[in-house]
Amino acid sequence: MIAIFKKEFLQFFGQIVGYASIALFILLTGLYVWVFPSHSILERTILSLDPFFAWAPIFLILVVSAATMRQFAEESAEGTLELLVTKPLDPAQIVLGKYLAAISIVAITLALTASTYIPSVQALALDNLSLDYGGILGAYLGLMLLGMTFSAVGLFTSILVRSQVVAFLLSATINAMGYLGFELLSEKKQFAGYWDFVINGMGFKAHYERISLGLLDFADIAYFMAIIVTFLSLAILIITRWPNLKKL
Amino acid sequence: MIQLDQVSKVYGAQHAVDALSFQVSQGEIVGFLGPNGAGKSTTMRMIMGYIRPSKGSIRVNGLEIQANRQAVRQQIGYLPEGNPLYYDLYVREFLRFAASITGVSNPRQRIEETIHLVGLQREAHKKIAQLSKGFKQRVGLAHALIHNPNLLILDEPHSGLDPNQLVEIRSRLREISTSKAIILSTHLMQEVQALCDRVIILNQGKLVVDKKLEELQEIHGPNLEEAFAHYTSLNANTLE
Repeated sequence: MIAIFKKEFLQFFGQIVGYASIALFILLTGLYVWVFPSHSILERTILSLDPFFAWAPIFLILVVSAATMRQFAEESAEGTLELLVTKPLDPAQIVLGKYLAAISIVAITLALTASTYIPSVQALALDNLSLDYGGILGAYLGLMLLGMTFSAVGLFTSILVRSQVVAFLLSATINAMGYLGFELLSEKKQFAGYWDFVINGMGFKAHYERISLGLLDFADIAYFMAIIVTFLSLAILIITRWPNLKKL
Repeated sequence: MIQLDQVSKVYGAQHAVDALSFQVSQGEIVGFLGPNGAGKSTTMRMIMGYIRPSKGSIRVNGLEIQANRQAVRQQIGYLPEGNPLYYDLYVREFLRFAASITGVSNPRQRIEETIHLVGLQREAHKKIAQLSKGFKQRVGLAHALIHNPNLLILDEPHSGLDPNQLVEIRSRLREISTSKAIILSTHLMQEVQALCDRVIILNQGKLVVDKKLEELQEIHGPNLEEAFAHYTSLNANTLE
């Protein structure tokens, strides 16, 4: 598993796409944190990283989809998946090694933002005011759980297709629907009352926002873990039966 | 070492491999021949446990492949058709990866030994994408040999090589073959004549010849192309 992890990690950072997707994430979140007047911290009177935590999940979908799109789709298109699955490896080792690499990329991306945004926003504080570090820690934990969920979905979609572009689009679409789709659906008039709450609670965003508020509830963590385990199990099942299952 | 017993692979109504039985023992180099679509690659993939046979059993050193996939794969070096490689890795990175997943105990030493064995010393510092086709074939061969397997399954290792590269790969295979069983699929008869002890020919999924090279040459003359043409021109009714 560690060998697969190392290979994936080397391959991601061996290509310009790897660096470009992380740079794009930092650029886009940076625009919302510092530049766009309606969101910029410089225009606000409250000392917080709220604009970052509001927009980071959307842009994280792009980074994760770029990181996972090639993980199986490229192997399948290039024929190297035959090399992997004919090695003395358990299918779970292959899937988990790749997953570990994907979530490491998420962790590095988030660590880069934490190491730049937190000190710079803190430096803006007047009268020795301090940032809410507990809240920030909770929000980063929520982002990491989201990134882990996006990665499991992205890895799974990468198994389904041979084209990296299609894998990227599938991953981005499913993750965006999981994050925003339920909230948008819950806002329909037909669901006003009880169902809007239920439907909203089915999406990633409601759970992320609860964790971001510092409300660390076992149910929210279990929700993300259940999605992660489901998609990884499906991926392992497909690899176990490979190549007898046809790809799109 | 390898034993196939009545192995078949059926896709819909088509028999890709049909009741195939043969054995390969240690020290043998077996030329695995047949026209395109004869079932060679399918058979090799079934031996690797990559494709599940529809019928029959495959044993490697007594172990049934489907029940012991990991143990069996540990004993086999496999060069798949088309020689798929990770082009964005450096040669040593790729071999380190292969050594790691096959549990090589002293990877650094073994990587250098294998690089030397396949003659990759001058190219080992490069990215695989930068190598010529001949050197890429050597990387594929090094990858198959890295864990020093008893059995090598090579699916068209000569594909796309120029005459000089053919001679080089031939000499490398000769060096390797002393202690291993090798199943070698190729369309190049001169390579079979130069390397193999025994020849198996498939046609339309069926085994049509399994003979020592000398026996085949006694019957059809020294030129294997004539034997190949003779056996592979047989139609399905004749094969029945």
